[in-house]
Amino acid sequence: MASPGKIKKVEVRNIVKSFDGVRVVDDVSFTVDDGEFFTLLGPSGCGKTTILRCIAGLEKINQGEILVNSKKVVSTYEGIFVPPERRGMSMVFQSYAIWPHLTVGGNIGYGLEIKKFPPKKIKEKVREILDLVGLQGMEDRYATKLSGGQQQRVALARSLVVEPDVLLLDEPLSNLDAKLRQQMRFELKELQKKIGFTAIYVTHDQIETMVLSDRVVVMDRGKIVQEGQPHDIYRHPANEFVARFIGSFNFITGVIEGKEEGGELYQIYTDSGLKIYCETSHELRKGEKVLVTVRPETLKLYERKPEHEKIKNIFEAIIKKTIFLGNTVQYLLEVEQYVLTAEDVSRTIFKEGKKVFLSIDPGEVEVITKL
Amino acid sequence: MNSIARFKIVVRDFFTSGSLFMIPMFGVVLFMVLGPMILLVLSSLSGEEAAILTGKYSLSNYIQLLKDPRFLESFANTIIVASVSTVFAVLLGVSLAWIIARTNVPFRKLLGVLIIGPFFLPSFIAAISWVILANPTTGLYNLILMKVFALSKPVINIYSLPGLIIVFSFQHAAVIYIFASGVLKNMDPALEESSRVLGAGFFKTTKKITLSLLVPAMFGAGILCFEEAAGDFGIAATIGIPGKVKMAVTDIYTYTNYFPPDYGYAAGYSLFLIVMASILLLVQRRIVRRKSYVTVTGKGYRPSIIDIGKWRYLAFSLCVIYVLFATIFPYSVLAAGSIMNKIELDFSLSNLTLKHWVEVISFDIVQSAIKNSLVIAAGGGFLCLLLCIVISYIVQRSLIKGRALLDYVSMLPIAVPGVVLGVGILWLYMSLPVGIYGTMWILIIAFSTKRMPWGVQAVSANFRQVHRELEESSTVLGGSWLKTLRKVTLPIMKPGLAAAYALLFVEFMKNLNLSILLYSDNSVVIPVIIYNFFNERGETQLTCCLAFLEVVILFVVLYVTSKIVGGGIAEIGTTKQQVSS
Repeated sequence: MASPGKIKKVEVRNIVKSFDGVRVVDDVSFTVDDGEFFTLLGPSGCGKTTILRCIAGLEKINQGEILVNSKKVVSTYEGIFVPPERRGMSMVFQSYAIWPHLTVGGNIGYGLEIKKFPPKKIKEKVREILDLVGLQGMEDRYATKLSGGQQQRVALARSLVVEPDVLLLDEPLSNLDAKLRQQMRFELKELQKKIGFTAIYVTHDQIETMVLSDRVVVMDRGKIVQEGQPHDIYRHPANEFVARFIGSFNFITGVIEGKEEGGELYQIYTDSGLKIYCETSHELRKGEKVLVTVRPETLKLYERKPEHEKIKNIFEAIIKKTIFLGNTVQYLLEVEQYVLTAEDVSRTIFKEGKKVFLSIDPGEVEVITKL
Repeated sequence: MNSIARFKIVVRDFFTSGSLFMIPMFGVVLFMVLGPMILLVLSSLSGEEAAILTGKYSLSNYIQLLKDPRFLESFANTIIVASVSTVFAVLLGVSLAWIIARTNVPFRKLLGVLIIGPFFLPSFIAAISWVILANPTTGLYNLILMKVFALSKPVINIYSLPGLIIVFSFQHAAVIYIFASGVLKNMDPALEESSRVLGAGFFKTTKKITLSLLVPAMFGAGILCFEEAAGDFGIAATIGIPGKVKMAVTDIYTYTNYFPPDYGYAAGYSLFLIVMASILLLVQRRIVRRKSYVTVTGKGYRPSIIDIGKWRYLAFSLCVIYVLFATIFPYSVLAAGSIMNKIELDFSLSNLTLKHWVEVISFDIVQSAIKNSLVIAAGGGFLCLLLCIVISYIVQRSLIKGRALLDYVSMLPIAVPGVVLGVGILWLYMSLPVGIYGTMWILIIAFSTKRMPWGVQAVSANFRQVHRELEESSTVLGGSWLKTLRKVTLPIMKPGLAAAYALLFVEFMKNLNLSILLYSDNSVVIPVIIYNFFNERGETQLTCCLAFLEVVILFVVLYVTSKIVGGGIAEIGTTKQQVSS
């Protein structure tokens, strides 16, 4: 459906946006490539929604430039400001913003009507897009009488039918219940594959990010803290904030002892004297102080001490707390002075107070900062 | 369980559940509301005054009414004035609300406050100030125009059909403004933003989204304004009677109060108005309930203010013109008139005096009117509040059979114009040997009946906010219904009740529609004195003093309440709009 041959690229250059003197967006730059699903991830108040609104033209930036298809839509240096209605985008809002005085057909056809499409063509296109989002035959219903999931699809259809250069999505799934959210995630991804629009997506949900995105920027207090592909960010968080935000809770500080003799693994001595092997691409020198993290699902628990040669990083631990989560069991483990979180999928459930052994794969020990 | 035991339980429940107290309340409310109406029906059928079981009933009175040229003339006037002024008020009020809520017009906060000025001016006082400003002989607007353009004759005559339309339009634009800005404030900005992003410019979005979303609410508010205009006595009498523009309410008033009376005409006309108002109200309820797109969530969105460039000066001019003519000039002329020797374009110190104030205070009748008004507003308002609390309690909390009927009956007075209700109450108590006629009680009863719908709505809204479990935990701990009400429910509702009390106080204080028919020498009230000073005796300056005093009292009450309850004067004052919608 998207017009072929058109390059739908968005460049954000050094934008700053303040509200009442507070810099909500602080010198942010990134480029979204044609057909990419690009996600701005961060906690509430990190400025991600504001960036989206600046791209749409709903907020005026204080400084910087934004280019769409290599044309400046806003530039504080050249005094350019293209109003939202002439940026050729569309946007899905968190509240859906379904117009209650219009039918489903009226809502979806609105953008086409504005673009002066003939009524017959509008009808045809509305029907087509309704098929695509699975709302066949609903044109004449009043949209506010629909369920949350259906409203969400209407909002999506309304934004897609105009074949925008860029689709902006502001936490569009956050008002849905967990099950529906999961389903919509996949549907959204499918639609993007099918139609091939460029999407900029704002969310605070890391799972959503992993499922949907081609590329992610993680934001904190108005600044970009990490940019990369979802699995990069997942596996190699740039700092403690990112690591925590995408669900890692285990942090350990230690000093580099140097590489193991004849091996590739670094040895790290923790403050309490534990020795941890770590496989990393970072160049580390002996005596350097580092912060490492281990994701909870990578810890393996054993009832008896595993005897296998190749298993490194085996520690004794006491189960402090057992939390049954349904598909997994979460444990709080006491290892020396540390409390580590482990998530285990095996059927055996260890009781609180039990002594167990845990192993950490050196490849999963991620050095996140040098201290 | 045998029948004796069951009977015992019924009896015990009767005493402990409060039925003992509540059932008589049913009787009181039914009598207050239905009594006057039944009397009007009987009188209209017999063509006699206060016709309880005396007259011969027939429909001939109605047939005569419909052929009566007096009726046709005044009814046509009423419809023209009410509908044209409502259209103007909606156009003006919505434009103002949109400008203040959505654009970067200069001084928008200040303008927003000044625009609701007319809302706090009782209609008859507004009419008086318009007459002082725009009457054809000494009106200040005429004096200014004659001076500036060197005209030999005055050009504006407020005593006319267009005059009535202008005054109602300006007064009601403020009401529409309050409704419309409420809707705009509660509208999700994303509704407008998504239209912008899809390619519709600011003005197109305003037309296709913003204003379209306002339509049902404005339909509802427009109907309320129409009814208000059709039933308002103060403006119709002050401007219509001297201008010989016959209006429905002044007709009914004249033919019951002046010689020669025509009771059949007045009663028939009254019923006609009740039926018309009821139909309109039903339509209004349907529209508001069915199609109100924007529900008041109290969520409050960050307003999306848009830069309208050069247009802001046009918008600013519109606001300023409205504020000048609807708020600043009317209020100022009352204040100035009370301290000017002669009301003309002479603002020198020698034209200033306090003698009108001294004079007005020295009248015995004025002193007793002030006293009576305060007693009726404070005491009567309180009694009315108690009545409304009981009604709401029964409707919201009890399981007594027929509570839905009580709810319905308590809302009926909305559909009865003040003067019409006044006639019904007058005839009802004249014919009952209970010694209420000619005392302040008849005023208290009349005001309470008229404002019962607002009171009940305001109190019910509060009851709905007190979660049932709060009361149930008191009951579980052994508190009786009365104790629970006194110790739990009412204290929680205190701020809401204070606001409701202020609302009733203000309404009782400024009522003219009913008091003009029901007052006697022992029960004069301020609005009646103001009306008589101005319209019967032509004492303009004394009128200004009293009108100014009245307005000051209203503002003081609202100010004190806003301090107790929290929130601004405007919020307290405009709760009535939420209540009536």
